[in-house]
Amino acid sequence: MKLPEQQIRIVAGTPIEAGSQRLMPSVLVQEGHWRWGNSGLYRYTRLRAVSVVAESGDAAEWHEIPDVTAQMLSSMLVSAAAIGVVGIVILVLSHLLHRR
Amino acid sequence: MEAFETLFSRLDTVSEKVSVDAVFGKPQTYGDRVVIPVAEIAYGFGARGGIASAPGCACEGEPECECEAVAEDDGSQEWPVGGGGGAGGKARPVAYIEVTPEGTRVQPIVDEQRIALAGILLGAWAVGWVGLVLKTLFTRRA
Repeated sequence: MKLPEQQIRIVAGTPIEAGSQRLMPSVLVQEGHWRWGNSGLYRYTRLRAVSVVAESGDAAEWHEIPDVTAQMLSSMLVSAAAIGVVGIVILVLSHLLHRR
Repeated sequence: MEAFETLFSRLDTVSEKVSVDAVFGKPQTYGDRVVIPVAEIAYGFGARGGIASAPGCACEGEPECECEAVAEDDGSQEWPVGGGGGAGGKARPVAYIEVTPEGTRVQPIVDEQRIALAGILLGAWAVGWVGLVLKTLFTRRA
């Protein structure tokens, strides 16, 4: 069985005119593609804004677009893993000390 | 199988038609402020189909096989065709860009409901582990 083909790339979006500024957006495109010969296919695409460059006159400013929700959920997941590891370590140490 | 190939090739091109510009919403003007919503978009689909072939014998080739004679597929018989598929997608607000005469700034949007739910689960996980550790320690001392 063939493994899914994955592609990750950053694509420049169409410039947006907003007031006196011109915004140049960039988007992270994550694509997955899986085909079973001629009998089936599976495909997914994920688009996420990465940053925007604001141009006004001669000056240009880069702004990152953070995904705060995903960052917070990731940190919570790391905390949950850390709690589990610490718990296991305490239980193993307790078991070893009790045997002595 | 031609019908399947046509269907799959059409489905395959659907995702290419969704532009990356869909991530950025239409600029909204409020006085001298312009607000541009930013979202995360994800979608996917899957489909599979098949045409039944001449019935085979599961034990063919084995010494004590009592299987009926296998019908020859001469192409004159129409075999059943089946297929299925599904698709899904989601869009989630991530931030908004605020453009004012003073400059541009990005304001992140926090999904409080997801964070609260994850916080409750994390709290329950932590309480469970603390309870398990304390129970084990006190049981061994006693």
